[in-house]
Amino acid sequence: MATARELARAPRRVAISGVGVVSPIGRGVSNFCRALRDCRSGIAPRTLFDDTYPSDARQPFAHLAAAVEDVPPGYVPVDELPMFALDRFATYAVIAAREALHDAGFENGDARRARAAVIVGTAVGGDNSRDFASHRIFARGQKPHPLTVVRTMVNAAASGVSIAFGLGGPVFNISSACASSAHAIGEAARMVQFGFSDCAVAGGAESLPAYTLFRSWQQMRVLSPDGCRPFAADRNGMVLGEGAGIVVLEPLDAVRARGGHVYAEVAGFGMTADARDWVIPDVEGMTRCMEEALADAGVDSGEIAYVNAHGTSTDRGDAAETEALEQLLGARSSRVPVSSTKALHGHALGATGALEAIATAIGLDEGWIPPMPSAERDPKLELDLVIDRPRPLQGDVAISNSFGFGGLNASLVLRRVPH
Amino acid sequence: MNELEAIEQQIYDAIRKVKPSLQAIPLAPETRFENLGLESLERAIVVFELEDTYDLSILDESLDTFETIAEARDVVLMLLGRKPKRAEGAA
Amino acid sequence: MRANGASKARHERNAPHRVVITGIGSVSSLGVGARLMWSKMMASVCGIRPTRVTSGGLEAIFPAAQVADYDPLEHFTADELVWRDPYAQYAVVAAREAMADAGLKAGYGDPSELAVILGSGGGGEHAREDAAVRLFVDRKLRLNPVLVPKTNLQASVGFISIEFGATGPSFIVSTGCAAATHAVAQAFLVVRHGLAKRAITGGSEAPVMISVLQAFQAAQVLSTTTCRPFSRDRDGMTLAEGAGVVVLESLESARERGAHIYAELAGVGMSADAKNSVHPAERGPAQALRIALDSARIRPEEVAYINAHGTGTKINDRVETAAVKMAFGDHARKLAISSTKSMHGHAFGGVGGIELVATLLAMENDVAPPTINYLGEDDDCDLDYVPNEPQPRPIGTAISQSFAFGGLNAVVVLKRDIEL
Repeated sequence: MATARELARAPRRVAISGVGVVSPIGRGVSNFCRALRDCRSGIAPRTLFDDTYPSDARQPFAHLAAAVEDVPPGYVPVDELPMFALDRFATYAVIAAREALHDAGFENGDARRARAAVIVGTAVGGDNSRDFASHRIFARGQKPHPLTVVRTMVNAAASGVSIAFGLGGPVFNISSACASSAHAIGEAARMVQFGFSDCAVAGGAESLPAYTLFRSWQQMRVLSPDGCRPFAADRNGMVLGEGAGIVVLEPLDAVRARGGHVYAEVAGFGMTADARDWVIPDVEGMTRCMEEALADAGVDSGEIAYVNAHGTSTDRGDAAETEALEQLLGARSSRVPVSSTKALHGHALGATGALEAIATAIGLDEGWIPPMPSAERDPKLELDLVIDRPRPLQGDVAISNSFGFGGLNASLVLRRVPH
Repeated sequence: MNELEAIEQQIYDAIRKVKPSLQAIPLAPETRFENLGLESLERAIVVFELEDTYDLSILDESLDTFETIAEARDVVLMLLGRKPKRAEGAA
Repeated sequence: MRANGASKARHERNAPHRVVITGIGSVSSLGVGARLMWSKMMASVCGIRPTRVTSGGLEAIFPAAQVADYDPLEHFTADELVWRDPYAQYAVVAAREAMADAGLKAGYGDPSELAVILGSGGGGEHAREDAAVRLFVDRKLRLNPVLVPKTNLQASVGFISIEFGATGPSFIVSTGCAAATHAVAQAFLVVRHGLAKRAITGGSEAPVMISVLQAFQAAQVLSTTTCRPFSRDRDGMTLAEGAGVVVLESLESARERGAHIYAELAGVGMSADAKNSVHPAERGPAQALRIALDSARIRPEEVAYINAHGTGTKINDRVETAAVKMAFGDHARKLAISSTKSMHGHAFGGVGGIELVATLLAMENDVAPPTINYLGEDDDCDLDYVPNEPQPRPIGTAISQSFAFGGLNAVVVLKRDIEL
């Protein structure tokens, strides 16, 4: 337990000692990684009706999305939650957390669980449960389910993980749109770094929006009708995705002392706000965020061997991020390998930062860069994109970016740790 | 007011719903959207309001690239012309 | 290539700083403005009243505490209101008051040294309900794109960050009823570890509407009469709206500019029950209290006043009383513990901020605000809850605590008479 005395001691290095994933390209880390290496996309046509319950006038809403295919509806992930009904997004979090805890060797009854922190990033929350409740209340004039509050609350993923696995340290949710789970991992790393916590379970969880919100997204004119092609010449919008990525964070020394596996070190974290505009991405804010992360890690930009870009495939977002990378890397910017895994797993909003951090960490650990499907590249964006096949990751440092809607930015610098 | 003017008025109303301060300035068919300082999201809401008022699909047809109010009016007019007309006297 | 000059050296950021509070602001059913709220608390005014809401053809009348005497056009232009759900409006208004109170204008200092970390449970719920009525009542399948930014949970943070040019660490913390207190705890850690010099923190919520009412009624936690924390015959919580925001600052920054200091935020504690999604257990809150006291280096006997979570449900008030006894032992009977929710209602993700403001004013004035609507003791709740009338007493050290659904607990410890 952290005491005032412990808080004052020198900051500790933070390691990722366990990972867990639920994603549109596979449930479980090994399935996820296999799909990344094979450059296999989970984006597919999908149809939502105006409500997913019996109705007299169903109107299909066809769209493109990256959906999780291997978690059945109504799936209850753990016996510890007998009376507990979890919305999809919280279910994903619990499944991913179970894998991560097992991976880190934190089995049931482990004393460290009682003090572990849980910080989960979620931007939207229990949207299916929300639409379900709204339908009952407004279309049917019926009372909503007694567990509506518990299912819809945006911190349900964090508390679900806490309850499912008996994790009793600081537990909360962070929301900052697309940067939510990167912020969650960064904040959790800070708490371990400064001794406020000896173990943190962190990441993100999100399910695809339900009908109401999805139609609103579509009306915003930022979704692509035909695919996610980050940095491509004909990119025309993002594709929403869903899933959960959870990591276990511990002091590096503690993991080494017990002979545990280290995927990568969370070496640095940058967190900035543009303070300018809701929608227009700000190059300055992005650049400063990456610089802060590098400075925090004590790493020079010349050491970056891979950039896992935010790369949502919007016209302006990708252009702004490219300019920010040019400002950060100077002449090197056209030679540092870059990819955006959103092309495969979609933009999972609050969960996306965590999925990408995990892809980056495993890439560092195993020495490969996840590719993107080929597309006609935009000649104005001079980046060394990794296409179709994984490339060897030659170096020890990578940066993963999450530049959120509303101007909240997060960058994580991950570093390979020799075994 | 003829049909063209009626549509123009709806467009003025939609714009002013998204940006009430534009009540104070005169709008005309020649007015360019970019001169009104409407950002992409605000434009998307104007499109939504027109789709809602007239029950049209402007977005799905990728017809939301108009630059002036007159062009927007013409898009609405064209789409209205495409809609199947109700039979006269139908209940 | 750009020089990496914009950021601080790692060692400079990691030396712990003492954290103080230099500005306060609030919007609640006790009015717009922190001191107005305090004057009403001193007069035991109840901001909870029978409230009528309608939506989508449904109507309900129930006890709730809506924000009083608030005209949006006094604070925002019509253009701005198109984008700002009330939850975001209240946060901005309270933040403006807190920053003015702290003597800080937009653009003061290096923008990267101002963080904005706020709490909210549901964010733009009004916007969400409007969309639900449109789809499920009006049967219109086309949805307004404005729903996306308006329901964006971090809208309040975004607007405040733009208004004050804050480019430091900024995000929303969400833990339902404890969100604002968790946000303050995170802001404390950010300033303490030098990641920012100043932080705008607290929370806001605007949940008084049909859909939220029905969801909480279905969970069987709402009162049908009024909010009577810790009292016999208490029957549940009451929905409320509002925002409470404070300015946290490193002690050095406050001293440098000669700022007025309300108190030192001496420590924080967070924990999770890890047990049940609705019903609390005392071990979790007691642990958060112990961690908070320990991190503040304060003995339990030094605490004079606790601003309780005190929602007025049978279970919370029983468990909270037990938790306070666990953490404070015999001293539990000597301290004053009151729930100001009896006056301003339960504003969920904003209430921790409102209660922090109330606690700071209690320390400034050496008066414990009352728990009103109190009818008498019950078997489970037998401490000094400052029944019905404010209680003058020296309050040099105080606590504000929040215990949320899902068993998420957050506690902050405040010390007034500090060595600078």
